[in-house]
Formats: sequence, structure tokens, C-alpha cells
Amino acid sequence: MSWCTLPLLVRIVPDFSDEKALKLAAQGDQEAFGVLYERYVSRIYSYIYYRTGNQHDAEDLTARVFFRALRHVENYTDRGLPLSAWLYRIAHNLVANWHRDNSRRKEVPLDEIILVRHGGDHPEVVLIESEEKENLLKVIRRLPPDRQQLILLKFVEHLSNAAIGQVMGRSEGAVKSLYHRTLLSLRDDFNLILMSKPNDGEEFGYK
Amino acid sequence: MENAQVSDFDAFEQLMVSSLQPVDPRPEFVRGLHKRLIDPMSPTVRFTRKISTQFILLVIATLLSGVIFFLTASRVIISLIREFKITKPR
Repeated sequence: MSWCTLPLLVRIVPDFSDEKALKLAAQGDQEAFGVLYERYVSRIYSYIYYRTGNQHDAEDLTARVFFRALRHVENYTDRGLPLSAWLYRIAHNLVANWHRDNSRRKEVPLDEIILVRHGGDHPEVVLIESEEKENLLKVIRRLPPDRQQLILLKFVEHLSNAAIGQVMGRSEGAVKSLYHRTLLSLRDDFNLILMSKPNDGEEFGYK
Repeated sequence: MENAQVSDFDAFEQLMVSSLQPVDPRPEFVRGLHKRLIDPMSPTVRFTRKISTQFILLVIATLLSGVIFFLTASRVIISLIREFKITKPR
């Protein structure tokens, strides 16, 4: 009898490594998959939330990521690719499909993201900082999908360049170079938006 | 000029760090999805490969049995009709 078949009250969820949990999950052990789910759900949700800009779609796509992972966990073979990279790739593909299916690009509900972080600050400070962050998110949302992915993995998920490379299928050097170029472009666009407040529809060119 | 640009770059990087914070999902959503993923009674539950193979074999066996049954039954019916024709008094 495996640990997952024990009665609920006496079950102790073990501290599996990803590899061990994956192996068990691939053999049909759904509790082991549950352990992996608990470990990654917040990170995947956060990533998708920034990419879609709303809670409803973020929840829907997060659910799809984990159902897809559950369906294909048997075929997941350890190719030196961490589980997190695999999940981020699934999430990235689903978000790309979601953007393709939605003809109009939805704006990030910035108030929802930003104001929640500043509950204790003075309203004026909150307003200024919110505006600043609103503009920042605006320019991020105008980036090409792969650059958005890079920025979110770097700043929201705090992944290293090597880990981002594994997710994006690029070398560490290529990620570093792309990151530098992206941040310079973002900074320029951010300054531009502060000075001139361009229309929402205006597109920026990326080098 | 170069130093100013680097400093500007670092300041912008800091702004990014402070602005982009992880967003936590709703606890109800996390619990609900967990239940849907691992609940053995859930209709979305995945079959293991072994069960899938057994299921496919069962379907094939059922189809074969059906075909054999259909052929046998039709032959019996044809035989009965012929018998009926032969024995039918003129």
C-alpha cells in the first residue's frame, strides 16, 4: 500500500523532491501530483496573471496548465529540464493561444495589482506610485510575447538567467543579452510615456 | 555620460523590482483546483496507461463479440427462413 492510499486522517504528506513526485505522478499517483501542484500553483498563477491582466482568465488558464501537465505527466521525461520550466512553457503556450483567440488585447487591471500593495501608504503617495507602475505595466504589455515572458520570469518569478534560458529554450548568454536590450527599450519607452503620454494604441519599435 | 546611463539603468531595474511583485491566487481557487485535479471521483481524472490499455482491449473484444454474434444470429435466421420455406405445405 502506498502512502497515498492511507486514510486521510493519518496521511502525512511527504517532502518529495520534484523528481520523486514526478516519478510517482507518472505512475498515476495523483496525490504526488497534488504535491507538485501545491508547490507551483502560485508561481504559475502569478505569471499568467501578469500576462493576461485579469483574475478570471488567469484562474482559467492556470487550471488548464495543470490539467495539461496531469494529462502529459506520463510522457514527461527528465531531459535536464526542471519541472518549473516545463510548466512555464505550457503556461506560455496557453497564454499565446489565449492572446490569439482574443482579438482585442485586454488591459491589465492595474488598480487591482497595484493598490493592493500599498494599503498603509498615504493616498497621494499611492496615487503617484500607482501612476508610475501603471505606466510601467503599460510599456511591458507592449513588448513582444517572448520579452514579456523574460521580464516576468526575471522580476516576478525571480528566476536566474540560466533558468530563464531553460524555459525559453535559449542560452544563458542570449537571455542576458535580450534582457539588457529589453530593459533599455523599456526604460526609453517608460521615459517617453512619462514625457509625452502617448495614445494607448501607439506602438513602439524594439531593437 | 556612460556612468549616468548605467546609474539610470540600475534605477530603472530597481523600479522594476519594486513594481513587479508576485500576485497570489485566491485560496478558494487553489483548494478547488486541487480537489478537481486529485479527486478520484472527478470526471476529469486521468486514466493510467495500464487502465487505458485494458479499456482499449475491452472495446476491441466487445466489437469482435458483437460482429460474431451478428453473423451467427443472421445465419440462424437465414437457416430458419429456409427451413420454414422447405417445410411449408403447398
